Amino acid sequence: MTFTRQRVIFAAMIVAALVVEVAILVWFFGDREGSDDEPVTSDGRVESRLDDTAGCGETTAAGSPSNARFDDARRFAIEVPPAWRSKSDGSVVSLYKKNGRATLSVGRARSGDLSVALEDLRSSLRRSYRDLNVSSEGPLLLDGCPARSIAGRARNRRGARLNFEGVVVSGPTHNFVIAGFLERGSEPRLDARVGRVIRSVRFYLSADGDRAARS
Amino acid sequence: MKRVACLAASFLVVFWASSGPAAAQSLSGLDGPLDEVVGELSNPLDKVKKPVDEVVEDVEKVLDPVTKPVENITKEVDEVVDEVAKEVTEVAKNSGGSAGSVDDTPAPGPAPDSVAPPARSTPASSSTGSSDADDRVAGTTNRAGRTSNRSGRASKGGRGGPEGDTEEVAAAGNTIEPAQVKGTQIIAPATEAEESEGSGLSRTGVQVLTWLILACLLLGAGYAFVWRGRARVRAAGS
Repeated sequence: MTFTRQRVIFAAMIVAALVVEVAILVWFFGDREGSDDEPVTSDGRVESRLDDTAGCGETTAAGSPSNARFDDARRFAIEVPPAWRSKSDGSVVSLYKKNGRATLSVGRARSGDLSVALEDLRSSLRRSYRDLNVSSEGPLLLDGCPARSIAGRARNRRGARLNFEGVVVSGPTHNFVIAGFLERGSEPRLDARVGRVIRSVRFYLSADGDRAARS
Repeated sequence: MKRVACLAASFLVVFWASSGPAAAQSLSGLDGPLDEVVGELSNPLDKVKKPVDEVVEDVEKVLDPVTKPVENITKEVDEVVDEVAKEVTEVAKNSGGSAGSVDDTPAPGPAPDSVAPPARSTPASSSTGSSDADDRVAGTTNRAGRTSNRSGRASKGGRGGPEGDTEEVAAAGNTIEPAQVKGTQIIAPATEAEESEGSGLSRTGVQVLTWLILACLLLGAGYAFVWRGRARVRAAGS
């Protein structure tokens, strides 16, 4: 074996090590929970499947997944992931991760302009948490409906440091508010999971055609 | 030249071994708790723990006669409040309200042929029924939720009013309890084994171990190649 050949083999080994490094990183920290058919935006958020449609909300709940949890008036539904449990209380549906590290609630927001509802959410968060720090805010589409989201960090009354994301949505019948909270740094990928759950909300029209009445 | 190549390879391996976990940690967002946990572990808490436990036991013994009556009073107050809530529910029902859903399992979607449920012009604001199938969740959340419902209704004249459920939804994060660090054991409340996705510590440990093994293998392979090359050169020279 010549010295040149040795060098080639050695360089190949270094390249192989680099490939192995990348593979290990992907294997350990890749998003194993995401499905291939979920469209993901550049900022890592999962878009609604109806984002490319003009309609806000859905007319019937016929196509809703089996793990969807509806509110009592069946105006909206949210998918309950495995290892989460759900609870409905009137117009509010709450989801809890079984290990207590994350929670998410959906309910009706203040009616009227979306910016007013967002300000309402912001002031409610400010009242409920300490050290509230809103790091991002922006518009998005949720189930084809215009929405605005805020995200940031806070400390709850029990002293837990939280990441949160709040969304107010101008739904087909009402304004809705969604808020997801998770303990900061508790689990890898939990941020993305909460984001996916938030974006799984579907809004429904009544049989009487509230959309027409509203428009 | 060989020595330089060997040194460079060794440097690369060590660099990867050290940067790998750091990169992985930054990728996974494990910024705070790991440092905190390491700091906590380094504290000599065990030496202090036993005397503190003894003192706590003594204090609990002293406080026991006081706390029990307080708990009894709390229970009585809760019972009275529950009765009032029931009365309010009945009044709401009589005035045309509707009770809320109380099942805990996700409701399956209706059959394709079924029509959506009758529209309600008013939200289910009179609903007071809520349920938790799991007692643990009920223990940690129901009381807080009930309190928020009461305060919300009292201050705003009922949920589903003009302000909606924003207050209750926004307060949901207060049910999350902080992870406690006790001695050398990290206690996450109600962690369930079957859905554990691996803690940050265990994942980082596996990552470090993997890199160490990989580094050793690479160093060994590099040394073996260089050694064999030298032997061949010597053999050719002689």
